[in-house]
Amino acid sequence: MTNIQMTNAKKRLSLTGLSSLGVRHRLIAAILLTTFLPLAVFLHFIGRTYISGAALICLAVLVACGWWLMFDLVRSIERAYTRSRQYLTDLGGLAERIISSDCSEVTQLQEAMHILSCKVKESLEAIQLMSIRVEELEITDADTGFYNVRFFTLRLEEEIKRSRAYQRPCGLLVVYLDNYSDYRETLGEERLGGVLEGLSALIREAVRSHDIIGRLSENSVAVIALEMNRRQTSYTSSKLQDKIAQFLKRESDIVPQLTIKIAESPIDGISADALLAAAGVKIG
Amino acid sequence: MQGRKKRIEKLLGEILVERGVITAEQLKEALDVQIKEGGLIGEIVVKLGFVTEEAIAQCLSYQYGFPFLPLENYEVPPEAAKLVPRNVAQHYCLVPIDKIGNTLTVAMANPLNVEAAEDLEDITSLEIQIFVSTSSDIRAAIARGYKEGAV
Repeated sequence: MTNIQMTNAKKRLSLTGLSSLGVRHRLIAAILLTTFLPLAVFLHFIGRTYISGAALICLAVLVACGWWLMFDLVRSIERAYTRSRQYLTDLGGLAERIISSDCSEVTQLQEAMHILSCKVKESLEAIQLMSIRVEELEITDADTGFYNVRFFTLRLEEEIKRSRAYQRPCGLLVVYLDNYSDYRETLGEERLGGVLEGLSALIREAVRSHDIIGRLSENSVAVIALEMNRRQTSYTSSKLQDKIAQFLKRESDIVPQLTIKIAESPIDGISADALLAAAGVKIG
Repeated sequence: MQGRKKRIEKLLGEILVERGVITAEQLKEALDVQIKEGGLIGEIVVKLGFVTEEAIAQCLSYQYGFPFLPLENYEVPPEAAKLVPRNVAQHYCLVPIDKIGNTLTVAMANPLNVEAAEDLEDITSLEIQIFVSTSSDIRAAIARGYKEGAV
């Protein structure tokens, strides 16, 4: 429904005259003139023998005016009734048009909202999938820069296969800092981050450049000692343990509690899971 | 073990060329194949038809003094098989031959594999006496000596 249509409807309503105060006044005046005034005159002159002709004429004129007012009022009511009917008819059509128009618009709006909600839902799902995908694509640990456990396990599996093809051993050593939580509580996250950074650099220097390093959990780091058997890996691990212990003592007063476990393919298993389990790593 | 390491300074391909078993060109071709497809150089030269497994084994035997032991129809003694797990034998292509006193005799396709010998020492706590044999014979001996499902 447009504003112009609404304005026209209001104008039609006001034209009926029913809503104005003049109707009430005219009605009161007509009743007074046609009923109460003649009655009052009659009562005033009751019992008297003489009523002047002028008075009768005035009374007749006033009564006539009263009747004229009454007649005019009836005509006004008739016109108002007619116009009201017309208005109601127009209003009905208009209402129908409004309803039908509004319904279609509401339906369209509902459909648009539904499509929009579907799109938003799809977008959210896509974002979630992308987030998972990004997580999957991440191969390094943020704190140390070493491979994360998922990628490290894949690399270990590959190296075990390669070692089998070339009849070579594949060593695995896992360093556990048993009192890692003490360091975290004492140093705080920020300073611990710096310590981990230094520790990462130390471990990189301590092993061969082609060895593969991964962070398996917050307190454990593992090294794939390529083509090293248990004996050779054990030698590397003892050197590494000493260096890590010295570094941690320099960084904090806490006495480091280090555990190093060693495994080797083929002796301890011929799969990454078997080797990690042999080194005390709980997978999953 | 130090002595064993000291002796192994040359690669198998170099030894084969030095001893005239294969030519330098054949070695280059074999190395190209190794770069492309991977695998052990000894197996590649055999696959390319440049040399036989027996010739390689005898060459290694002559070069390093490992006794050559043909394993055709050889049965692995159960007590020896118990000392070396099947997966280790398969991985390093070796087979235990016998245990005499504190010494375990094994046949290996690649007797230059120091790490394999060290592993055997760690597993068995015995001294290791190495014989050289062909890969085919060793794999056949493993298949005969280790029952399916054995460790």
